[in-house]
Amino acid sequence: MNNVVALICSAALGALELARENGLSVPEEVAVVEVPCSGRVDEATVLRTLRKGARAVLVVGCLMGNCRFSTGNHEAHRNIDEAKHILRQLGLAPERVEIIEVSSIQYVKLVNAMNAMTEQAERLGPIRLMEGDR
Amino acid sequence: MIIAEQKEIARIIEMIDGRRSVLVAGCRSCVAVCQAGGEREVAALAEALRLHAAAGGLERSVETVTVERQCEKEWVQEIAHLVEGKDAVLSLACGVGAQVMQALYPEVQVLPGLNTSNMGAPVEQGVYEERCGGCGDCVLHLTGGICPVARCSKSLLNGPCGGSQNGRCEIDPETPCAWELIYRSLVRLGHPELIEVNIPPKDWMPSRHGGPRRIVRKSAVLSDEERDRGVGL
Repeated sequence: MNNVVALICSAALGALELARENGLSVPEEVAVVEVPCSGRVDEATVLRTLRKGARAVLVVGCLMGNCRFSTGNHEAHRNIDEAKHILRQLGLAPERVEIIEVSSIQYVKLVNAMNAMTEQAERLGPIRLMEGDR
Repeated sequence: MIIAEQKEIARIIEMIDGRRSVLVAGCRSCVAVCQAGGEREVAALAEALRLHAAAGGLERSVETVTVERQCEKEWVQEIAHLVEGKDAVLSLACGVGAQVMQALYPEVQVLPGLNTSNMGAPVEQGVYEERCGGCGDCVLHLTGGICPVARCSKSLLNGPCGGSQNGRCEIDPETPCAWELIYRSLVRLGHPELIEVNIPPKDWMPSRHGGPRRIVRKSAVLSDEERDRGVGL
């Protein structure tokens, strides 16, 4: 399992292609998974991804107002807040999951976020109980 | 519907401490609507418990199931094969569902994953408010369809009290005065005179004061012959 799993809305995935076309490399530690909408990523999916071995999860949705399903990205924010709440209750670092919004042309923003998440995963290390907010 | 909310995960982890196999059992009825114990919440809690076990190096299997209604035996009977052999069932149903589960499977301890709160309704997505006090002697026909037992902080049958200020209750400025709501509803309904009806002291025997309640619907009760034939529950 890669250190970071990025769950990216299919509508925002164009940013990744654009990054490659423009010569920006995506960190190797990041596994990219396309999802139909960031709102489909629920808290159970995030927790399962961490349990399966990822150190951190990055959810990538569209900019507010740009969701083709109207409010999927709003739902995504609620879901990730809930996932952070559960991680806190378990004594795990809530920053193991983050969410960002990009449009399909904001490839620099996407790659920067992936790099930042990779560094965060490195800093957090393997999951262990009682790590709390770090 | 019955409103409940999930216990803190730390409390749940304390309850299941030492149990190696746990079945998280949800309910698709009331607690699914108030997003405390439906399929989604069952999946999230089960994943949280699995993650906790994995991170702590604990050997624990967590399975899941969500039944249509945990308060009815026929639905709960269907999961016997999943309950068998488990160290505990973590019920994400209301207190009724958890008790029905325990009664049907007396050999396996059923643990409550929810705190059951009240009989209420969703007022907006994610917000649930108490609406019925379950007093057993309904007076909604006199109070404009608004329950004074559940919605007045003092359960006054003849209000408002002196603590009603600008339509708000003295216990909390966010809480509307039920008797203000009752008056406005009666005016809207064209029966403001009902506010003058003096509701006499209530017979609380049909409420909790008469002990655990039991309602018998004679037309639904089976005859001895039907019972002998194994009809019904």
